[in-house]
Amino acid sequence: MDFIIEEKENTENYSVVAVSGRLNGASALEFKRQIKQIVETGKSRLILDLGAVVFIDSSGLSALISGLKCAREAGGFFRLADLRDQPVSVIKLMMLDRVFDIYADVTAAKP
Amino acid sequence: MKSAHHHDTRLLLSRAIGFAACALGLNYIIWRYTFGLNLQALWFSIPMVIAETYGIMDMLLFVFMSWRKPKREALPSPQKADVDIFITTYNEPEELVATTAKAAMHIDWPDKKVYILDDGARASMKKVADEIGCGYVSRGKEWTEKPRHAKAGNINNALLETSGEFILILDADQIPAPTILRKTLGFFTDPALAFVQTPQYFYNLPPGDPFGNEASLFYGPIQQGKDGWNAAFFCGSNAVLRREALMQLGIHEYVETMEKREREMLDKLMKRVKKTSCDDEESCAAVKRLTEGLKAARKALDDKASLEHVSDLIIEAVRDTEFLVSKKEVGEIAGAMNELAEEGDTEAAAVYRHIIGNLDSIARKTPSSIEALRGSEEYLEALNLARSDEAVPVQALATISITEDMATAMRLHSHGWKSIFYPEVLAYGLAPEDLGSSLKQRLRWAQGTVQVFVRENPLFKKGLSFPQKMMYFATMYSYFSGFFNLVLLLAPIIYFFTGIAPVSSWSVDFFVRFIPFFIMNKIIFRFVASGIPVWRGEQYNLAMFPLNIKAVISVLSGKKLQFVVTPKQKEGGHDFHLIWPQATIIVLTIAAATYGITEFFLGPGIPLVGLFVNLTWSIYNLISLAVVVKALYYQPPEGWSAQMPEFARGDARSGHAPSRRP
Repeated sequence: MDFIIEEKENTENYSVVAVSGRLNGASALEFKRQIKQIVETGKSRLILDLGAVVFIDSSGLSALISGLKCAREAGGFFRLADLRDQPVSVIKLMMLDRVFDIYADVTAAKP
Repeated sequence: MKSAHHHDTRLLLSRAIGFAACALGLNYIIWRYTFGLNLQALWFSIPMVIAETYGIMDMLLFVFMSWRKPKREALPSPQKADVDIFITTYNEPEELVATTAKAAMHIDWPDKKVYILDDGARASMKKVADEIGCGYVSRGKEWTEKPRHAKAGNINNALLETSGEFILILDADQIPAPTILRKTLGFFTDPALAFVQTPQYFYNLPPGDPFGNEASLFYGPIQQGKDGWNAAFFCGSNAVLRREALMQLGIHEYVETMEKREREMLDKLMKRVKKTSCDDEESCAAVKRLTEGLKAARKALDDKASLEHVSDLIIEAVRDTEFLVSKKEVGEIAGAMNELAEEGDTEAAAVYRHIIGNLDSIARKTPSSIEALRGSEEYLEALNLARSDEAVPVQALATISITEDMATAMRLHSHGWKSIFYPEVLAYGLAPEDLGSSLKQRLRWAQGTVQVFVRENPLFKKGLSFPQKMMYFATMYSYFSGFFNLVLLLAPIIYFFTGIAPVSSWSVDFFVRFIPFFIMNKIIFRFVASGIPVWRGEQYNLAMFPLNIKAVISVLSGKKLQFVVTPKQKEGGHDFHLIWPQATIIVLTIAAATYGITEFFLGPGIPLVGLFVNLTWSIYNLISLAVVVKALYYQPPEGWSAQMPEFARGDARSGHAPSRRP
């Protein structure tokens, strides 16, 4: 499954960014680049719809942290929503649930 | 099977000798404490017996380390694995880096990408990379005005720019053999393996190794012994690492640091707010809102809520408090307008109505400073999880020390990762070619090691097994030797000048305990070394006392240490100041011995045994210290030059284009 990242919904209050495929070493760079671009256009209140992400490795997690850094430095947030089992288990394994705000689905993540 | 049998027999014999050496050592030192102290001169005998105890501890650790010696044979390499090859450079000559990069391009492995990690960000180096056809990485603008963390930072930066499953790290001068990946990747079929370290071998050591750079003892029996306890050291170059292991380490470190920081900053803020007084209802309400907000954040933190949530609670509390204060201030302005209006000012009346009608939105938009938060911007920023004090949030390679490699390996081991030392030489590098450079390198290692000892002491590190703790401790411990060696160097001098001995008497009791131990100590070291010359190392161990003392003191005094890139070319100059402490001891020893001999023949003098023991001891010290004097004035023999390994020489000459671009 190819890696895709796209803006899905934009409101004044938040933007939903949908990601699908494998978030790993190979796609981490692209992910970081796209998030940076989105934040640079003034959208820093981000909800990441990860419903279609089937796999995350530690490079992918590191990219999520970079995204968090990017959004928060711009005064926004970086919420993760709708995670599948594998991403949840690696996030828990590395205690990143200690850092990220994780929501059951996109609706719950909306402020 | 014969060689395996031989290996086992040798190991058993080594254990027997080691055991005997330890027993004799303990027998001697116990006697020294109970009957062997010169009670008339405790100022002398106590430091002396402590120095001896240090040496015996060192031997015990050495014997423990050499208890196992795994036989490592290369395993068949995997079908497919993406490997990134990092060549780290800062200011080394382009030609040197180019030789390494070309050799890296010729490594026998299809799925590889070679990168020059140029911390010097030199345009000329970029050109070299383009010509060779390899990748080039230098730091981005996110590193501007942020701590750079030397080599560790350079690699951490590249880790985020690349994606291979495995990483081969090479120093600029370490020319890799074509087989380096074929020999090492096979080990990674064990999913818990984090890294394979191979030896550092120097092809430019002058005959006789005047600077004591020969590393085959460390990259042989010592690393093999550590490997036996799953505690092989990662040494910053010539090693293959699993990216996943490094990234996990970085993420762990990020989470831990953020949580710790959130807690600390919250505590600091609460302390400040507690100290704030308020004198009217509105400002008291504002302070109350802040206090409650911080308390709620604190509770959320204790309840293991996400740090992002905690951070949001704090930001919200600060924003609300600002609003309350601002509302009060805006209200005061409205009040003033009202007074003017009552005096008939119609414009003021309009302003008053406008403010009162939109009080909340005006207050939200008006910046306000809260007394309690004044000057606390840095706390608030630190609470933001952005790690804005660092260029990159996730730092896989430890940045707590100027020897990042040791700290990183220790963290990997403490997280349960495994390591392997594979003893075949697969890369050929350069050792410093003069005493000054050699001392700089030694000082960095010593300081870095002591730094890790202070900041992340292995003895208290969770997750390390007892033997792993011992392996790290043993190496750190050895860098404290300077103080004890100084005592051993001064002892015969003191004896000759004062006639005071550090032992109760040079008696039979002393010799029957000391001599067997001393001989066994020398034997076990040589037996484990199995043919590798050890004498040069022993000389340097004693002669490096000023450097080791300096390293410990500089770390303990909390001075900021510099990562000094070891010069790869001869710097020249015979600065006498490099060896003045050793020279001083040499002069004092000679003077003391002369005085002692004169006294023996002319004066009431010292006993013959005392004279003999201390003369022998002085000669040993002199021969050891002489090594640095010789090194300072060393000139390589006429016609000698470093010989690059055969496979790299062709490349350097032809410099032909590699067959594959990364």
